[in-house]
Amino acid sequence: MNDDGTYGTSKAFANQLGDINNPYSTIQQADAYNRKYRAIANVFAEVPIYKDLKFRANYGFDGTIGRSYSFNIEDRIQTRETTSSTLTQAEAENYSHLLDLVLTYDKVISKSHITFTGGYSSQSFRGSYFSAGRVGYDDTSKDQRTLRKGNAFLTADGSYDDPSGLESVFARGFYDYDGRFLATLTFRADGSSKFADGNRWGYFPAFSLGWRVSNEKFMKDISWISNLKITGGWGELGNQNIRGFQYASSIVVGNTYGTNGYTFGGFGVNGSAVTITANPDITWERAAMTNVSLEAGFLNNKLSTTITYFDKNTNKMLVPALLIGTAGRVTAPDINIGDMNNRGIEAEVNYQSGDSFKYSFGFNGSFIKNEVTKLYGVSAFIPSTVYGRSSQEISRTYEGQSIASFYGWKTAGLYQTQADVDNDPYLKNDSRKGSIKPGDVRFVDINGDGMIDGGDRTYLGNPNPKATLGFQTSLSYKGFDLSANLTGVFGVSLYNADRMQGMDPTYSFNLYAETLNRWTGPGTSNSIPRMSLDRANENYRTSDLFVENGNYVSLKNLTIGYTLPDFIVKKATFSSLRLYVTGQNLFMITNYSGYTPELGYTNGNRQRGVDVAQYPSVRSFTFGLTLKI
Amino acid sequence: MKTKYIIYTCLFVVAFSTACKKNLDLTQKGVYNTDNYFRNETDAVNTISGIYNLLAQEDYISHAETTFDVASDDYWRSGDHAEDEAIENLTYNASNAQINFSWTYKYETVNRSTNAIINIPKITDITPAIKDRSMGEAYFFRAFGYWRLMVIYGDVPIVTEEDYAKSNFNIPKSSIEEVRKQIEVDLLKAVDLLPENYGAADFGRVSKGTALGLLTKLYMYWEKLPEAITTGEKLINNSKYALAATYAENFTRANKNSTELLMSVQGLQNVMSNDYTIYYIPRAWGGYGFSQPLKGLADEFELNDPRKSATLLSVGDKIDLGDGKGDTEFTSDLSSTGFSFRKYAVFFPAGSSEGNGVDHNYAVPLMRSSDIYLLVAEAKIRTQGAGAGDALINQVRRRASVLLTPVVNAGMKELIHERRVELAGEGERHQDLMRWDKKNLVDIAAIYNLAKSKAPVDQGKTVTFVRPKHYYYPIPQVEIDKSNGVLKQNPNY
Repeated sequence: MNDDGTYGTSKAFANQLGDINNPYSTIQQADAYNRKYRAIANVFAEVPIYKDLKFRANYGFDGTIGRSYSFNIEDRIQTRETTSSTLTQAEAENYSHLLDLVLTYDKVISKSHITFTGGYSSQSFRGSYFSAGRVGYDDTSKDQRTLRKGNAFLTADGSYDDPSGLESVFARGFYDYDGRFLATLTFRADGSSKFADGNRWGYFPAFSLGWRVSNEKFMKDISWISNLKITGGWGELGNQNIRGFQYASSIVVGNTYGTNGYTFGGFGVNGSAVTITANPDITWERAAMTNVSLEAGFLNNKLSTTITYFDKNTNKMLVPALLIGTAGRVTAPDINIGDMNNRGIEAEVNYQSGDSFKYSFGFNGSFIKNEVTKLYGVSAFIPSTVYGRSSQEISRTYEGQSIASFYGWKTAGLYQTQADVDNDPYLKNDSRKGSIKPGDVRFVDINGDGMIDGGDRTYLGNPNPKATLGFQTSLSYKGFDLSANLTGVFGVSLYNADRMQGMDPTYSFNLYAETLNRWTGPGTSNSIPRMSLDRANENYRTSDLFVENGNYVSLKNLTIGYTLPDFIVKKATFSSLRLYVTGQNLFMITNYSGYTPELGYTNGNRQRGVDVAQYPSVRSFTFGLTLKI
Repeated sequence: MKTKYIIYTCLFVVAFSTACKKNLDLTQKGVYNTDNYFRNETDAVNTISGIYNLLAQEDYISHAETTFDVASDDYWRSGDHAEDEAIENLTYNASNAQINFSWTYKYETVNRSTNAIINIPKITDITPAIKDRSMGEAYFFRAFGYWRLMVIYGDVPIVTEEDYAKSNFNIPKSSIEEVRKQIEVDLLKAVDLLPENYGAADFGRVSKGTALGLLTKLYMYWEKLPEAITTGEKLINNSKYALAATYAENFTRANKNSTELLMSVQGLQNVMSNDYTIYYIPRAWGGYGFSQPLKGLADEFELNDPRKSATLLSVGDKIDLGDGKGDTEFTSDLSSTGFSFRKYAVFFPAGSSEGNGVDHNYAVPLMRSSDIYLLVAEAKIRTQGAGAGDALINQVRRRASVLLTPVVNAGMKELIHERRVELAGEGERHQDLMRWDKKNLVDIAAIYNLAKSKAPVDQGKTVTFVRPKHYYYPIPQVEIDKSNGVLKQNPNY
């Protein structure tokens, strides 16, 4: 900001600051809110019908009204101009109804305990929104920012949301014999409005068996084992969590400002087009899960542990279709693209003890292997979103790989001398050979055709962690207490797309400082290319140069508290008073070079662990006091 | 008692199964689908407008199409798009983003047109003249989509009406010969169905002249020169497609009423932005400063040819930016080459009540009659010998300025010069040079390596035009990958 209260312009220095606006002015001028009001209601009635038979009816309502406001002030001094002030306000409402009707029969006959439940459930979701905006404000002062004060029409829009409905019928039987043998049998039929008649209903059975070994007579004498239970089961579940009406194509009629309109003779006209193609065959995604679990407690459950092995097969996985280019610019419907397997072990050990000094420790870990086992029909791979000005592909999953795998070129250092370039068999037939200079990246000719092109791309890494470990502890002594929570993620690859762009001098943005260590002559660097506006070699294409190890250990939470002794508190008529301090995300140990290795998903489950400059988790400190009267 | 329970149970079941059915049989509100659309004339006309809509998309015409001429010796790409640089220097590969965009946008044109061709004939509640016009527009645009695909990629898949109806899009390539036949068939239908011209309210629609113009171009690229002459003369001999009085008015708002403008992208203030101006004018004037003309092009103009100042802004030229500051001088810091396209720099006149700055009420020319005049002249020269095209070339020159000396006994050299200066920056040069190179009329590889064919910053680069590889761009790699072996890459990529 300048001394006179105006903002500095990003146009200064002939736009050499890049294609951005002064960030300080962007923050200062922002004027927007997005508020939501939510109402949740639930009523139920439970009626005993006859002896052990009960009927329960439950009705639930969940409604949200959202209001948003956004004022963009005229700003002609920045590189990206706002030529006229605009105000847009919008209002949206969404609500859902839930009705459950359940009959329960519960009976104990000597050592047998039988429960049978049968029911019906219905859910519906509706919503709508509208928005309006005006452009041109003679007076942009804060108290004059109303729609009425805008000079000209900007937008008026409104629509219904995607409505949907779910209908289910289910039956569950539960049998317990003597607290030793347990069995559950479930069957449910779910109908979803998101699928066309004929593909609408999914039928999902499940069962589980359990043996509480510790309740057996022969275990009575083994006092150090306080609990031992083995359970195992198999079950199927459905997923319909997708956009509705995908069995039909959508034709959108847009006005001249909207998606499909045009102008003739100086007047705007409406236009229409198919915007989403149909998938008449779309149906439920199914997940069949088998699991075996061992639960054990020792020394009066001071030490407890659970180990579960699971094997989950997702069939007819629903993801947006790989839309072939000859289909045009339409949006692809979701398709039942293929099968995926997740299997692994989840384990947990907890120990707690102590009298005046109480302490507990817990370890947990999960070890999961993910694999896309089959892709149907013409689906050659599962595509994902693209990145940056040049629309770079980063994630692409083929059969046999983990979902959201990275896909691009492998590299073998940098060319150090002109002779390296001239003699490289990878470039034998490459027409770009004359344009490649020492200091450029040496990409690997995977298919051995003597040139580097799209055919040389391959699998570059898996962003799904092999292991996620956790450690929790809590300690207390007299009035003091302490708890901590550590998380560690291991065996994970991340793709630093932000670095890929930030190192590329041909982008009109500021560069990463590490470009100072770039190649400047033979032997100076084997990983940071020469700095040049020449893009013949595309040094910053998607490659393993930007794949990094994403392992980390993070202290997610640490809390220290002190509860005042009774004799002090009592005088003040409180029953208890505790003071505490909590820190979140206090430290992280990682070799990852970006802001944070906690990158998450960026395109459904099809892109994961790609650094597009996500915000790191916030480090926060909370000082608090808990008062009980 | 028992009967009562049975009745209750039955009522219960019926009530719930009805409610249940109702909750699952939902209808979409505010959106149509292929089963409940195409009811009347409005639906037909809107479907056609939806095809035109694509012309205004950034990655369709305004940015993308410029890219496919950027390899030429007329202008330098400028801007920060890596993909454009690769296309300009002929170092592009099959993963180039622009090559990807172009593919899907052109097929979107084809598919929107095919959708119209399948469904509009079923509509009965429609005026016959509107039905014919709409069908003519749909056939024209399907041809236009394939025309661009053919020019850029060569052999491409043909999506038949049956393929489209069955959503079968994974289709192998057809030969360029078959693609040309497909374009010809559609254009001949469009010529029959489209009206000769339009009233003011429909200005901007494609006409019989547009279809004749594109058909002439097709025959030229097909090397069917006699057919090009016959078709082109139908257009030239029709006064409804006469050349505008002055060259410069083709690049002002006045062109909206011009007979010369065969095809355009219609801009409208606050509605459809005229992207060309934004893309071409210097950054300091609020544009992106792409596509900066090269000195080689500036030098091509004859001394007294007013087309130079209508085409280019050179250092020292003055222009009113519609910002109320009077004339602004074009200075050397505004462009890396020292030039900017004047053709697309359209501003409100000073003191206009309608607005200031960039005037979006501009129809960006995509095809002009003068292009067809010169193609017919070329076909005549090449079939009947030097001098056969003189009359047509001189019509174009006389329109530019009476001061220009008429050509006498003009051969290909004069014709090539005339096309370059008449159509600079209108997307013809690179394709013209490749067309002529195939017939050994020019040596494109030599032209592209001349110093004057490159921007000052690219002087050190060797641009290698490889025959026949660079005549066509590669099929996008991502499409090859998606097709699971159905789509084969173009030779040499």
